[in-house]
Amino acid sequence: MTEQQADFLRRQTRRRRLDRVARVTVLILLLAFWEIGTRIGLLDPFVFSSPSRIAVCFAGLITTGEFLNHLGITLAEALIGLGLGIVIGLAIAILLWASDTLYRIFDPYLVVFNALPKIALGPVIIVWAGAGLGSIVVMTLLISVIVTVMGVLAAFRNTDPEKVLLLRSFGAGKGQIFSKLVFPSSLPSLISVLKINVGMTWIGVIMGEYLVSKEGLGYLIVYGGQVFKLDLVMTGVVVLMALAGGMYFAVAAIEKRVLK
Amino acid sequence: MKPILKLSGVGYSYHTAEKETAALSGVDLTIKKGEFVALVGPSGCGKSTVLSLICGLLTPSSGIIELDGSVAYMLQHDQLFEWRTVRENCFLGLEIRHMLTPEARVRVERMLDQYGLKDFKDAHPSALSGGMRQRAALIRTLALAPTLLLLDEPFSALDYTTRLTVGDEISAIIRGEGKSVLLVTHDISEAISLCDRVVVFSGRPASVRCELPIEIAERSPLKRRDDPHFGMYFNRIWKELNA
Repeated sequence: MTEQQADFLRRQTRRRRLDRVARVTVLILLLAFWEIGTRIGLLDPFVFSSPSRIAVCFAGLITTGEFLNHLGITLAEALIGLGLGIVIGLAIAILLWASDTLYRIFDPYLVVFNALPKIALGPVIIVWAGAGLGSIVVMTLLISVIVTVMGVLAAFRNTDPEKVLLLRSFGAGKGQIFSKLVFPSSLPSLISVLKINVGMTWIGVIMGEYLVSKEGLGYLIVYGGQVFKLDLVMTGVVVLMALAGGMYFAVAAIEKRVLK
Repeated sequence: MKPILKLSGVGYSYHTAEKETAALSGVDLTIKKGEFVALVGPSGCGKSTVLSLICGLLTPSSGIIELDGSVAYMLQHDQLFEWRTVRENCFLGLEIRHMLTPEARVRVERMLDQYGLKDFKDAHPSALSGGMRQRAALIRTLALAPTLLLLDEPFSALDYTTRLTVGDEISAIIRGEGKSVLLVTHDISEAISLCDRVVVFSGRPASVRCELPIEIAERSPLKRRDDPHFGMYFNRIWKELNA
C-alpha cells in the first residue's frame, strides 16, 4: 500500500467516525433540550411529556404483562401483513407481467385504486372483516399491496428488451424468461419495494388498530390520547419507532446478502 | 450440394396503427455449408428483420424459408447476465433448450479453455474485457451446436482497435468450428474482410440488389485488409449501396 492510499483510508475512517459521533450528538442534544425544557418550564410536561417521564412510563408498562401483550399483537399483525402483502402483491404483479391483455384491462384500475385514500374504506372494512385481527390485516393489505404491485410490475417491465430477445432466440417461453431473466434482473428493485413495503405495513397496522381500537400499540396510543396521558402516547410512539427501525434494518441486512 | 439456408421470395411487413410498412419484399438468398455471407445495406432497410425471420422470431408475410439444420443468433451487445458466472452464461442457451447434457458441458469447457477464458470461468462478466465478453457470448452461441450462426453487428459496440482484433479472433473460431455465418453489418470493410460473399440490400422495402463473391485467398480478416483488391471491392459495394 502506498502512503497516499493509507492516507486516503485514514481520512475515510476518520470521516465515518465523525459522522457517527455527530449523529449521536444530535440525539443527545434533542433529548437534553426536551428534558431540560420541560424541567425549567419552557415546555409543559403535561402536553409534551419528557424523556424521563417516557422512561418511567415505559418501566411501569413492562412490569405489567399487558404491555408485552400489546407489543406482541402489533408485531404479529405487522409480520402477517408484510408477509401476505409481499405474496399477494408479487402474485398480482407476475400475472400482470405475464399477460399483456390483463395489464391493459387493469392498468386504469390500479391507477385509481392507488390514488384512493384507503382509510376511507375503514367503516366498510370493519363491517366486512369484523372488529379484530381481520380488519387490521385487510387495512394493511389495502395500503401495501397496491404499492407492491406497481413497484414490482415497473421493475419487471423494465427488463432489457435485448436480453428478452436473446432468450427468445434460444426458444425460451414466458416461464423461462421470467425465471432466468426477469426475476433475477429485478431483484435489486424488489428489495427497494420491500423496504417501502415495511413502511406501508406499519401505516396499515396502526391505522387498523386506530380503527378497531381493541389492543396493540396503536390502540395504546389512541387510548392515551383520549384520556390525555401524553406520556403513554409518546412511549407508544417510541416503541413503534424501535420496531419499525428494527424491521427496516432486517430488510437492509437481507439486501446486503442477496445483492452481494 | 444442398444449401443449408434458402430464402425464396421472402417478404415481411410491419403493422402499426398509422400504417403498414413493407420492410422486405422478394428476398432471395442461399447459404452453402461453411460459407460466410455478409449482408450490407442502407441503415433501417430491414437487415436485422431477415435474421429475426430466419431464427423464427418473426413469420414471413410471404415467401418460403428453408433451413437445413439449426441456427443460433448473436446480438450486437454481448448481453451477458451479470448475476451469472462466465461458465453459467455459456450454459444459458443449453438450459433454455433443456440440452445441458454432460457432452454439452464438456464442449463448453473445451471452448472456454481454448478461447482464452480458462481462468475466467467462475468470474462474473464485469471482470472481462470487451473482447473477452464477445468471445464468451460467442461460446454461449456455439454451445448450441448450430449449423448456421446469425451475427447482428456483433462488433459495432466495440472500439475500433478492439473490433479489428476481436473480428479476427471470432472469425478464426467460427471457421475452426466449421460453421456457416450470415453477418449483418453496415461496415463495408468488415463485410469484405470477414466474408466469402457480400449481399447488398436495396433501400426499403429491401430486396437483394446484388451479390459479390470476395475472391481473396487470404482468410485472416486483418491481412485481408492489406490485399490489393480490397479497395476495388470496397468501391464496388460503396457504388451499389449509393446507386
